[in-house]
Amino acid sequence: MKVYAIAINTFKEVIRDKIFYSLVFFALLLLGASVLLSTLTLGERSKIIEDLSLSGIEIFGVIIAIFVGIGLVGKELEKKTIYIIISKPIKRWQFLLGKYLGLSLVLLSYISVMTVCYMFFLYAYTYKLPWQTLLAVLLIYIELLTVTASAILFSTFSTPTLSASYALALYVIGHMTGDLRRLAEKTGEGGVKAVLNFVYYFLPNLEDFDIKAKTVHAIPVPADYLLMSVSYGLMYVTAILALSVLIFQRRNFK
Amino acid sequence: MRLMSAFLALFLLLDGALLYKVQKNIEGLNAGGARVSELTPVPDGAYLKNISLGQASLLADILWLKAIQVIGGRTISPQKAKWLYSAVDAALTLDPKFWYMSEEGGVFLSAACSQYRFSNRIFRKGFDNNPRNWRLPFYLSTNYFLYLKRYKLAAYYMGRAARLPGRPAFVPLLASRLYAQAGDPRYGLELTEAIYENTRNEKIRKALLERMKQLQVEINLDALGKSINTYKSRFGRYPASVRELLAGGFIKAVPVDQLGGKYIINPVTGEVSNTKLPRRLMIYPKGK
Repeated sequence: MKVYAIAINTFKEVIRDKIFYSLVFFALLLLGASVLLSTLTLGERSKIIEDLSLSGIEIFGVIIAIFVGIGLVGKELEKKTIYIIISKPIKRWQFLLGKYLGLSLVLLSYISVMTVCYMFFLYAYTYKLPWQTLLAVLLIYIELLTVTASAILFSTFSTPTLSASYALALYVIGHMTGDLRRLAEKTGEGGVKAVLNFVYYFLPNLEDFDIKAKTVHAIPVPADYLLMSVSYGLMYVTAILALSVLIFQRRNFK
Repeated sequence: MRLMSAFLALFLLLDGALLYKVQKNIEGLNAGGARVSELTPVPDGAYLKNISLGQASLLADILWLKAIQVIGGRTISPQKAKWLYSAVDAALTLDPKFWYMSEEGGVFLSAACSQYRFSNRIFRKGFDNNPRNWRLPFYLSTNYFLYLKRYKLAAYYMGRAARLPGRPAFVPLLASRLYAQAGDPRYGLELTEAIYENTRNEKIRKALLERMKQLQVEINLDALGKSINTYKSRFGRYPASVRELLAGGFIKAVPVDQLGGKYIINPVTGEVSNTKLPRRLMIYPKGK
């Protein structure tokens, strides 16, 4: 119940935030621009709109997840409002989880609004409704949940600016872990290979959540792949949140 | 306060006008020089995919949209053709299922740039990743038949196109005649007409139309060559001009030249050429 109250409060707080609105505005602008850009190509117009819209939804979602995510805990610390909260009968894990769920709810609303707009634009210009791209949107949401969790993790022990940099770096690395794997394969046997493989499995593999191209080309995505990716994302989020709680509980507010 | 606002408004207006002027000057200074973005080699697609942060498909679209600008340009230098090849090649690595790029890019590289090997690589890459698409082997076949004179390969790819779903009824017919009519420019024209009918891009259609006119000239040159040989066997020498052929009744009329050039006969070697077509499109090997 307490978690729920914090989550709803966080949701309301973020929804009123100017940064959130400006980001949503730019994301919508990008959707509009995709229609404009698609006129440059001949044939395959819907592909350009779909690609640009899905990428736009993802990129702006990541920006919201990181920049709003780091502020959730950071702001409370900065404004010293954390003292009021922790003096109440609320456990620290409840506070953190509430904050996380609140932002997840915001991202869910964001992604829903954007998807409706994207589908509307696409239908208006091409008379097509590619339902299968909704699967890509689902995995984008799971990716955003992972990024949000990492932003919260970093903000439990670092300043907002540094947390943003760390979360952004993790997002970039998360998309390039394939290189680590290839490097490990080339290194041959030995300690280095084991270390590289460990780092590869330890870091989030965000490429798992990228099925945009597949759905745009209407290539069927196996149900077990979807199930596995969603489970991977949710399990990773749970791990990050557990780590965040662990750090946050030991933190001394002075 | 009001005075201040008015002053600021005026300042903004003047500053805006000045910015516009300066930007215009910069554009003027840049004009004339090669546009770097068009000629800068595109990095390898695999490398781009690694750094695309999950946006490989979007990057492919951006490259394709830039490639279309080059296709739409007035002149196509070999440098631009090479750039176009590298852009489409990288885009196909980024988004292998975007077969449309392979089709349009490949046809343009072949019909407008005469870069047949680049064109083939693009078609083959597209076909490897889209093995159910009949157009790609069909285009590959036409490149091998028309320009590269590899008739066995041409027949092989036309045969593959004929077996794929969605192919028009004429493809199997072409496949069956292809080998028998190796090297015949009339057949080449027929193939190009088929590509023309299946291409949507206006710029590429224009290039194909030009190519069809050139092939018509080829057909005329072929027919004139035969008449010249008959002339030689009767008079023991080559005719000096097309008119001589006409006067001797070897041809019914001087062929209409769609390119607007003239047919010239070399009286020493008996070779016939066209002033608007300095290089023959189809080179006929002795052993077909």
